[in-house]
Amino acid sequence: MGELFAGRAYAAMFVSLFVAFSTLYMFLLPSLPLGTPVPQAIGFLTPLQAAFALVFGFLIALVISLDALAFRMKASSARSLTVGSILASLVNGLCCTPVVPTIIAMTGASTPALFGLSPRIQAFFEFNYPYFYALSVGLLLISVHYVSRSIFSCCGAGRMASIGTVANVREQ
Amino acid sequence: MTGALGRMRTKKRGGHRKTAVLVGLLALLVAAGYLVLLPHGQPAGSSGQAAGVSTGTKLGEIAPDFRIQLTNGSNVRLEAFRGHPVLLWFVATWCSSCQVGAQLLSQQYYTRLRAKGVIILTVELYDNLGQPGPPISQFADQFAGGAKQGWLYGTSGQDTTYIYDPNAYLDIYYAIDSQGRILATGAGLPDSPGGIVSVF
Repeated sequence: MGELFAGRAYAAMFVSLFVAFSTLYMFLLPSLPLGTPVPQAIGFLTPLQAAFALVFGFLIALVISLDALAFRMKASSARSLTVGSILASLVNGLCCTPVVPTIIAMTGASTPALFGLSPRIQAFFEFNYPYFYALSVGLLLISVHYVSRSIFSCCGAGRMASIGTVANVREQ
Repeated sequence: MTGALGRMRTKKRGGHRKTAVLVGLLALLVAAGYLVLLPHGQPAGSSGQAAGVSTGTKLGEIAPDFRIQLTNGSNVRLEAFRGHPVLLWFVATWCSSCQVGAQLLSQQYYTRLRAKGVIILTVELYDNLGQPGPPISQFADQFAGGAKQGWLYGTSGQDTTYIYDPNAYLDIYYAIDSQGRILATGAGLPDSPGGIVSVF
């Protein structure tokens, strides 16, 4: 990872993305149960959500920066896992928004079935959302692992160091 | 032969990865579209308002009467509030959007609603829709600073929940005018807390 930041361009990209994604998640995570972005929701950010927002921001910034490096070096990237992790972190919205009851109602379910099924599904997401956040973190870590491995197996540390040097030279 | 098979497998794996990325992006788009575009509230006038005075839960209809057991132990009927506009809000006390909604209402909109003479009735959905959650009195204390003047909390029967919340939403509200007519309704009060003030 040290080699990644040898180039100031990549380090700047990482820091910018980290700040941008952390801020986005600090706003998004408390808004998700509401089903729509409500600016005031950031005032109700819990410590757990704040911690996950920072971790998501860090890992997503890292994956994207590594992906950029991999693209430059023609190594394969791990974007599908990143998308999966972002989706897993959005499940909190399945608790309190009308999406679950609406889908169940669209299947033609009667009122007793709706009352039996819909709250149970929504409660599952409400009570277990930290596990989905953890799953997101896990998928992001796998993404980081895959893209790092592909960079190393493709090009080796020597080439990475040279890319860092070239980037520095170009900036100067 | 083995090499050809290997290449086919590699191609297949690449295909799976592309499909996974596409499915993921599609799901993300659907989720984003839902969050941004789906209207959660129905302001009066957005659909055909019933001209008559029939009882029901549609816009323009008279809100069906029901009994509420308040947290102070007394019973009151919805009809008792005729003459005042009422914000009737059904919640499941375990749902986080209801908890955030109560905080938003308490901190930012309670004063404005009260200035318009609105009575706020927060009613727990029957048996919290079958899921474990704190009692409505605890919900009130924890998220809205307890009962306030013109803001009452209570529980109601199963029939009331079926009538007012046939789709089993966790959070559904009705804005009712002083004659008992429904002015607006929607799932997810916290989505439009500012909008609800302007309804009255």
